[in-house]
Amino acid sequence: MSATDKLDLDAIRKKLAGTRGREYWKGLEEVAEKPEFTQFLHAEFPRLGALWERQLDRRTLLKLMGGSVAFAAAGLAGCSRPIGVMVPYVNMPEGEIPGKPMYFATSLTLGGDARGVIAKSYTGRPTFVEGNRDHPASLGAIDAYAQASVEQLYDPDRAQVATYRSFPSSWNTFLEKMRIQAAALKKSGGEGFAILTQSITSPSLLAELDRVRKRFPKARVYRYQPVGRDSVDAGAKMAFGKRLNTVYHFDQADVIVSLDADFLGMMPGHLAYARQFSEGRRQEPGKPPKMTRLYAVAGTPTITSAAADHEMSVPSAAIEATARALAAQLGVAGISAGKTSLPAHWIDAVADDLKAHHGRAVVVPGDVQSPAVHALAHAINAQLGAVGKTVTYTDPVEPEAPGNLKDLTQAIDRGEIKRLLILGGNPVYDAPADLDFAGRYAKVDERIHWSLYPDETAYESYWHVPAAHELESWGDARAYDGTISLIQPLIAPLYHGHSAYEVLRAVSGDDVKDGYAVMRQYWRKHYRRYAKHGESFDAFWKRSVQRGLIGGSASPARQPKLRGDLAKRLPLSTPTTPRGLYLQFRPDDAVWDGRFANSAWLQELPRRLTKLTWDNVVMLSPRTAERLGVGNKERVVLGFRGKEVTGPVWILPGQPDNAVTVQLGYGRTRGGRIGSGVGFDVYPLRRSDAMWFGDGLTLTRTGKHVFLATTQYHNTMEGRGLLRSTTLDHFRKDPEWVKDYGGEPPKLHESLYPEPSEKPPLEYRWAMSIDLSACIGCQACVIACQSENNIQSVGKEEVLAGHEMHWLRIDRYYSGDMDEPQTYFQPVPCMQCENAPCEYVCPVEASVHAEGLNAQVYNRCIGTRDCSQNCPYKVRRFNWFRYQSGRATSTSPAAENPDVSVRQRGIMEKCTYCIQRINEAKITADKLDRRIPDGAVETACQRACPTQAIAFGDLETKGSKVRRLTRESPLYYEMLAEINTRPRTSYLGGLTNPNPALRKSEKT
Amino acid sequence: MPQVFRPRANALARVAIIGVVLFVAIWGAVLWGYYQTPYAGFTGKAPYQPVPFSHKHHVGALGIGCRYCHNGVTRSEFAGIPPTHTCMTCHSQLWTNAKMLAPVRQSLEQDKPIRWVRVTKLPDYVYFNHSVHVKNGVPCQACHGRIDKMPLVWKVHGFRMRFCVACHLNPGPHLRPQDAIYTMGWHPKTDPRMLATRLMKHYHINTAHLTDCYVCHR
Amino acid sequence: MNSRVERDKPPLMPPDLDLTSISDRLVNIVVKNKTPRSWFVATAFFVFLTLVYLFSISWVFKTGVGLFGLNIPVAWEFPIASTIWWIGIAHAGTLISGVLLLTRQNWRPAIARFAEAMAMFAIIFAGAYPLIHLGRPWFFYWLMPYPNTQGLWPNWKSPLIWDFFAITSYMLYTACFLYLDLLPDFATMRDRAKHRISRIFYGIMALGWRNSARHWARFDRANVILAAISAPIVVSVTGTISLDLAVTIVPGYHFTIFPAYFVAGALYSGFATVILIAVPFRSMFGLQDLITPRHIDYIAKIMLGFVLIVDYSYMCEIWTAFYSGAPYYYGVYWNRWFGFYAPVYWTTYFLNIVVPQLMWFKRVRRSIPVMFVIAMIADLGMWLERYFIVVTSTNRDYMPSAWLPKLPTGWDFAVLLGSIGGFCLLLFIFIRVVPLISMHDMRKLITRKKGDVETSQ
Repeated sequence: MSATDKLDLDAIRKKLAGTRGREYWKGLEEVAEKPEFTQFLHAEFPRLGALWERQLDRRTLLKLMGGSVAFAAAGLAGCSRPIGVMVPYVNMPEGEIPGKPMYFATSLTLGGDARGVIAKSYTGRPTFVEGNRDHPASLGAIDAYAQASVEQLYDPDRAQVATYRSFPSSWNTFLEKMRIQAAALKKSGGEGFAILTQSITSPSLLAELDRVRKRFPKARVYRYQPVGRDSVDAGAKMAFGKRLNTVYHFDQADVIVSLDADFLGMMPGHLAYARQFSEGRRQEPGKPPKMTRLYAVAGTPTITSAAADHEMSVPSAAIEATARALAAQLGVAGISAGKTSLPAHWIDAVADDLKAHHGRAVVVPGDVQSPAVHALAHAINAQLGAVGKTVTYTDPVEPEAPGNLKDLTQAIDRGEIKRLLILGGNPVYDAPADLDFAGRYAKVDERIHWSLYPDETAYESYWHVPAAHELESWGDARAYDGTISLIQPLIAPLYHGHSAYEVLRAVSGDDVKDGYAVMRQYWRKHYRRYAKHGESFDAFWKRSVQRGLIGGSASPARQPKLRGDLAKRLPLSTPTTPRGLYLQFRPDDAVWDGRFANSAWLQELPRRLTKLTWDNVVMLSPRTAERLGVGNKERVVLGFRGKEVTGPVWILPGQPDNAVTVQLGYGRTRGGRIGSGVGFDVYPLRRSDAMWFGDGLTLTRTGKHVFLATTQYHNTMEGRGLLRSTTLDHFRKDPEWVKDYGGEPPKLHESLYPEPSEKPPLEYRWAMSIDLSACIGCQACVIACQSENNIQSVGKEEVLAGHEMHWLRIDRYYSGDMDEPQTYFQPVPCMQCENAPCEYVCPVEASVHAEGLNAQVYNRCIGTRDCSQNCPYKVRRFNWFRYQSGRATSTSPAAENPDVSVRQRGIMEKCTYCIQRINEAKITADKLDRRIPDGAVETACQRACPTQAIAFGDLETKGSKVRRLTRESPLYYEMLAEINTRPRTSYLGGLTNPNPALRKSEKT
Repeated sequence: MPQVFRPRANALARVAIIGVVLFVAIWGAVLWGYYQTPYAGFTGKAPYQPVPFSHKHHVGALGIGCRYCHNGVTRSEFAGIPPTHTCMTCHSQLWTNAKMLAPVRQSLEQDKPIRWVRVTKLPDYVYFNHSVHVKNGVPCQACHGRIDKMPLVWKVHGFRMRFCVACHLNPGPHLRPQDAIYTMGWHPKTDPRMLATRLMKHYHINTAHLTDCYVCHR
Repeated sequence: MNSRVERDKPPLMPPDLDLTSISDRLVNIVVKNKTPRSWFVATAFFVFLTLVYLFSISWVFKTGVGLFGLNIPVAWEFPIASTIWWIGIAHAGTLISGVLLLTRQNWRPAIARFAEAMAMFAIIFAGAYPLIHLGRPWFFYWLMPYPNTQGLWPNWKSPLIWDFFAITSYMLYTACFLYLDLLPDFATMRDRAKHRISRIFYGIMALGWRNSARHWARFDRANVILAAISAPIVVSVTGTISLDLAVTIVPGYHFTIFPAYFVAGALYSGFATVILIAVPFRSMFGLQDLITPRHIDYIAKIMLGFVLIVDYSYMCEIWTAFYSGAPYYYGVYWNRWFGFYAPVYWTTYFLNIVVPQLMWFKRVRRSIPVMFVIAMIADLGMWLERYFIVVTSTNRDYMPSAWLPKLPTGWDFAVLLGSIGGFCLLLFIFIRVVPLISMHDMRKLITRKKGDVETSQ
């Protein structure tokens, strides 16, 4: 550090001398106001300074090349009325074309599980992420968490400087200290040195870990993942005697039984699974109708159980019994059906169906389920001849952890741990309560924490080192099927973050190399396994980095032998209906285990089934709520094995009786400007012996009610033909069923005006077709739309006021019995009506028809809102206040898409089928003097969709997919056609495939 | 009781009434006029630049092509401002220690970009794409004027919406064959009207949707 | 006119009133008499309300229309309802000064002046509302066709544009009419004012009016022309505004009877407001003998007539909804009857259907206090009607998933009460500047009366 910087630091230290360590971060805000600190920021972290002040004007930033952002925003002397500055590069990077985005293949991980993505970068600024088609875990799709990574990258609440005892220090100082410590450790062979990691699937990082352990033989490595898959491993051990990774192939299956598995929404590989599943559900026009059948035994409703043809809600704890019953019914050796809460005929029917599809059936146990259920599932799949067809086993994606959190805490108690490095994760917040990690952590002499945020754990640590975001660093990780995916940086660390490699090397007093060097070194050693014959390393490296993955690195299938004595090894069957209530934990749709708590995008993303935002809830079934006399939104106290938390109740149709589900990841105390204090923290209830569910829950009313911000208040369709679905059989009998809802548009030429659909022939006629049988309601499209179109988050109060901004919403409707309802999802973007009611009422022609789109001219809108009044679909959104900057919830200007206007306060905005993408394609086509080929334009929602439920294209292009679907599919229908809006967004009626044997006894 | 008003008052009253009407009319005219002035449109005045780069010299005298520096123009929405490196390709040899070029050399040494003053700027809600215009026969001159005659660059057109729309309604007269796009002061040898129609065909320009709002506003 | 009929009715004015005394009385209210304390008290209160109004609209301008109780299904509520309501109130003034003039009603002169003033000020607040309600009010002028650098015009298909023109032209019209009617009185004031300053002021306002026969001839002609326009204007303005709703496809807005229905409602509330203004003023300035129960009686009869049309429209609307056979219209009415806003709806019906029936009885019509209450109820009822029409239609229209009720916020009430305050303030100041009863009209009436008496003897 230079002398001047030192001075500044001292100035700040003085300022902070008064405040106690813990208060510092609150203090930081105050200090930030002071000139010294801003100077310090500029001197030390120029980029950070810019973000901090939110100085960057989006277009200047992204249009006026590179340079230093902080400067670009400043004014200019020596010129009358300057209209701006242009800051070109000094040396233009190779391949850079100012104004054109560049795309990079990289990967994003969640709990070690890698999903391949393509990141879009404007002059060095990542602004959008989409799925990588070459990547087996993505197949072009993306999930909400990955989509939101762009926002996380620019999050101003990320850790911005290495701190020692919460005082700003620097990376260099850290290195110094570590070198000294390491030297000391070396002598003792690493006595008392421990590393706590999250799930690590990165080959190179694992190699680095081994390096460290070689260096310090006595050092220990532990692993903890709040949303872990330990029971999956345990199950495999129980069944096969060794850890194995299970890979499913739903495209090969005709009958699927999910035992509490959310393989469409949460499980590693869920994107690929969703795709395979939808292939079996979608009807191709012209082909005979056929469908796979999905039975879901769900401990709590998920999008998987919502997609199921038969949903059985059973408390998670009771599912083991179901599995036994099923196994027994299918004749798995030595298994006797215990007593189950499920009707016998149901088990019989499912078993028969499975038997009937020998080799094309599969049973999927959920990650949250007990080892026994996994073991039973393996046995059943073997029995069904599924292995090698619908299920394959591979070597584990992640090597077995030397120790888990429990071991660590015990070691600490024994005083064996003197120096603990926490490599990612936030155990102080998310460790099971019974381990009291926070308390024990305090006993460690040297506590080093490396993470993205200055979170709860960071405050308890001495050293905190900011982590580089995955979009800022090199790395590699394995996907659900073992494919090695490469992570490459799109931007230099914004906040002086450092990669895990660097930190490991630093802590072990090694010569610190950056991730790139380490990785290349590793792969130079190991690349031959995957390289083409005689391929040079550089060629291999180039090829792999380009694709974002290492070809052919998926783990090969193994043929494990089922243990003969499996039946004996199974624990005694647990009582299925104990007294009282069960408590069940689930990772949250939005914030996962709490790591995304500070993301406004995710916080405001309506939860898949509840459509709640900005909160977690205590989910009760209607019957249970009735029995306990609890009202919706009433705060209740949950008591579980001596611990208590309080949270609001949400009565969820389809929730099993006596099962109380809560979501992890809320109630953060150091979650950042957005994450802190949202919802309530349920980790205090979590125990190492009941990680996912347990009985003996007590629930006491408080009588106090709270406000919960949901985006959908009305859950039934009032018998209107908005969302149309039926059973496969009915469809076979009556292919025209979708028309039965009526709602035919009036004949043409009834009106005195010329028919807009017959206006002079258009060059293009854009249209979208949404397949309701394919849509699983995962919400990926919603957030993709938000990211692509600069849609602002508005915060809980505004959502409560009905001011949410999402252009694309997913309506969730229920039908049938309140306790076992059918759940339906319907994505509703703008319908781009040809007879648009919004257009003629606009006094200033801000809402206009262009090429069959309802374009909204933002800069012309004056905000009379008549268009929204007159929109039957209510898909228009209004900027009631100034949302786009200056609020904690507003997106960082750097993350915004330069091709889309950022809307001012007081104007109406809406979906226009990603008009910027259409224009881009148009310009390209125009330059080549040809038409836009089908598929050249993909809307953000379509691109994100894991099930390809959304088809978009041009109706004028012969043989375009959307044209085929709209003209040929018998399931085609338009929403509210009878009011003669002639929508351009159409739907394909949804189908379910219930088991005829069960029809009589169940509503479908 | 004495009269409050003299007979003259009547005249005054009439004058006043007419005056009010005139005042409103004139004020409106002034406003309207203001928007036509170069001042309001930032036109006609060359702003001071950190380096007094003369297009007149480089384009007019030396005949360096537009794309040598603005090489984004055919590929991107943004024509591109040359990186310092581009200037140095020549000026590492020529005028190596001309005082005038000091900022350029500095920029290269300190790796600090030169901060040029913007001459033309469209509002953020207008999405103009250079490449598509150039590819469809709209010459640089049509918007930027006789750059080859400008020592320091100034703006020739106010770039108000009307200016863009006028051309989008009837591009013909502005079009040129591809080989003349980057030429300054080019004059058609054939009859301009014929040429216009021919070029419209040649570039497949269909004006039907050229004035749709979303062409420029998103 | 038949004197027998005259006899069994209380006179419209004291018989001893003559040309000079009437002018004296009315002028002195302004120039000589001590201003009643009640005036000061009331004015102070209205000043306060006006300040509330100004503060809240500036705050809305500063932060955004989100302050009002608006959300996506309900993108219009208080402000639009209030606009329609204010315009309605204005109409009575126009009708009185226009139509009643043409039909030579004896009871017109006593109430015409402040009725016109009421119209004027009501329009001001009616016109302000839509602008306050804009998302970007600073661009309101885009509603006007004017030469601009974009080469754009407003969208003539949009009812909001018709609306804009309707309101502005109505404003101009009313201003002209009011001023024309004031001219002769300004002259009178000029001649009787005490201070030189006020004489000059009135003088300027009088535009050199000298009561010459020529002046009067011109005056009467202009008056008649304007009066002739009044009826069409009244019908077209509220008619146009009702189209803002009727032209949309929103179930609950999309009714063809809206224009007629809205005009009737407008006049009903307007005449009610005339009573609300007349009653306090007559007692405040001792005009009981000029604004008599009989005036109130006439107004009541007219109110009754219009409210019956309104009630008919209610039934008509329900029938249309039922007859349409569209589930969406059923939905809207279900919502109005049993939904979140049902209380508003039923209150409206009670206030606008049941209460007005009292006006069938002469004793009610002639009793000033009772009529005062009924008038208040009428105004409240009409406001509520506008409110539920605007809100309960969109809050549950086509997409159940988007259904969402919305309660008004404090800002809604602040602006509404504020506008009422401002309205009253302007009115109160007005009557301190000019006589609140048109002197020249009264003089005409007296002369005509004299004529009657002579012929009957």
